[in-house]
Amino acid sequence: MRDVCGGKDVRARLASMGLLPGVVLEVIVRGPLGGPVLVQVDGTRLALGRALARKVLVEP
Amino acid sequence: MTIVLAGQPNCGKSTIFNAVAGYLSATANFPGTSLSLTTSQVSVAGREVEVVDLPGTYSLTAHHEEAERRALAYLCEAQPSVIVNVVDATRIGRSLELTLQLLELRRPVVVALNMLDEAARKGLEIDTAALARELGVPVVATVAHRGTGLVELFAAAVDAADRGAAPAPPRYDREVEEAAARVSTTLGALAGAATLLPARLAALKLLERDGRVVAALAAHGPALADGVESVVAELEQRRGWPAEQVVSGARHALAHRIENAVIATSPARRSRRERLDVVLMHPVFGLPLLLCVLAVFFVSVFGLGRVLEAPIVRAFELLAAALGGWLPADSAAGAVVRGVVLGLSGGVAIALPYLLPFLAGLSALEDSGYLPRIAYLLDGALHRFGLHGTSIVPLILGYGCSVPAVMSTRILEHRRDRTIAALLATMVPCSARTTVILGLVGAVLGLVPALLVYVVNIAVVACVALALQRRLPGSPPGLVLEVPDLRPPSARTMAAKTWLGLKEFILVAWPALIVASVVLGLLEAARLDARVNDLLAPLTVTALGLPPALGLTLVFGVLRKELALMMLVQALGITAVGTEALAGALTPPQVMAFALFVVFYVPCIATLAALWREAGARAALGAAALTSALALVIAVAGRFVTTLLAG
Repeated sequence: MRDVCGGKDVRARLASMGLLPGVVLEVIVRGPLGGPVLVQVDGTRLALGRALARKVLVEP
Repeated sequence: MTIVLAGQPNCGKSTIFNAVAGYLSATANFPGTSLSLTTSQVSVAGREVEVVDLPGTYSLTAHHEEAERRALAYLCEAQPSVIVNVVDATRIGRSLELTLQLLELRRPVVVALNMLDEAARKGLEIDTAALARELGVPVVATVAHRGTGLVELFAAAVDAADRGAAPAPPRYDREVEEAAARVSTTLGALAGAATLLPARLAALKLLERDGRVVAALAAHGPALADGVESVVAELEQRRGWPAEQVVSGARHALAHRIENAVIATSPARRSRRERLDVVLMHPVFGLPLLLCVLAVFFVSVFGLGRVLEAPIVRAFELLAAALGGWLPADSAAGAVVRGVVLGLSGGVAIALPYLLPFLAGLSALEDSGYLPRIAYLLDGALHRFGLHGTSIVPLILGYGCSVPAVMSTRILEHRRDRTIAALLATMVPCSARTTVILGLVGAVLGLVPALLVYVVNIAVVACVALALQRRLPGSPPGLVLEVPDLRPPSARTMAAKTWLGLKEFILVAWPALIVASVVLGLLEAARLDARVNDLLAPLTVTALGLPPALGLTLVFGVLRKELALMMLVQALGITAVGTEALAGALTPPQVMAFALFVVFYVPCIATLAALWREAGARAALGAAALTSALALVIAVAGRFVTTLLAG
């Protein structure tokens, strides 16, 4: 993960769940009907709404 | 002595609390279930202590999360004797981020390294002694849902509280430490005193630009805040990230360094259970699978209900006969008591067979970790109805009981989202209403019509959601939900939760039923019941086509929804016990109309009170009005459709 394109609140929310710049994200599956993305960070699985997921900038 | 249990969500904290305090805390692999503090007086290691279960929080950087604010506020104000930090052994890195913040509070800390069975299953070997050394506090290994290690844990906690030694605060990297030192010598102490935080923690929060702490400092003089700002700016410049990210990054780095130091092996393989998620949450297969799971759920609950009905009915028949033998046949008192007995036995015999499997099934679903997956699968669909993300949590909780569902709306940030979610959560059938649906429609008309009621309900909730979203515009937040590991539900937890639900039914619904039955009996004796029923006749008879006697049951239903069903027996003057008797007394259109009306109309008093508290008087009254109007329309429609289909 490289960065989050959002304000302080969004950053803090994601950070508290373990999504900080520099961590390794693994996308496991995408949800039905434009639903959330299931990612694995550091042994934890998180469901991220699509819109929110788009704000998370990653590099492979 | 106060022992506080703190930890991230789903770490097993509430399981530990329940193990010592008796089943008081709701535990579910689901956010929003542990939102309020629970306390209990417990005898631990021979001493009387107060144990407090805090809401699960990911961190103490209290931004807008209600649970975090409360947890931090409690920890600062209450000054507990010892903090027991429950850590999920399968995710030490992330859990330690909270641990490190707890260490900053300068209170004795003991770490409970929980879920070691899960860690072992994943091939993780953890050196607890090394962890204790790194953190500078005692670490006790536990497996909470089996009860292992709890005695040692609380003994260690009491010991730490007695010694009263505060652990050394964690040391981050040089730049952060320097910045913190520069701030804390003068300013941190000032801000800390105002906000009840230790100086160093206040300094770190000032660096993070925590609004509350900065405001507390500014109250002493704006120049002080400027002084902090220059330190913060310098830190940002050196590191190239916003300050709060520097601090949280430092904490994260330390947590992971410790994690790597104490874990012996890390698995690269993905276990079977993890691979299951690719199927369960699949974009194409996920929803059909969800429907299958729900179908299995309802069919099992209903099937078990059918099976249980006969023996329960028999038991109550015997009871009614036995009691009937004691009472004088002709006195008014005798009539009232007989009414009560009949009402009680009839009512319970109809409700209990379906309530029991439903509670058991729901607890299994909760414990297995499937509920967050349901939220995940439905999020995409819910978007179209203006419900985003975590708004689904109250809706799912509503299938259990509306009161905790309404309370769980606190996890939503904006007022608008909270109000909408609270209202919709009360429209979904709670277990009491499920009892009515299964026990009346299901038992008399069959499983398919019963399921149809659920489908209609969901459709109506969706329409209301759409309408509300137009009237109250705003953009809801995105979903960020932790999806915990799937695990087979523990029989112990299931039994405890089912018993909890059952206890509530017995301790609250039965007395309510008895009181209501007595009142009804008295009204009947005084011939007043007919008057009330006549008043309600335009509703009950004309619109819904029901026998006039049902008017009063609807009134009682406002107290508790099950009462509407359970009092049918007494109201209709049925002397036999069981659903065949109901089938004889009511026609299919009447059954449908009644059930639909009960499912939708005014939330029960407890729920109205919760709505009033959480969303305000206007929301509560609005809900009452809206739901009653909807109930009328839907029930009438149901009546006519059923008449058409039956005829």
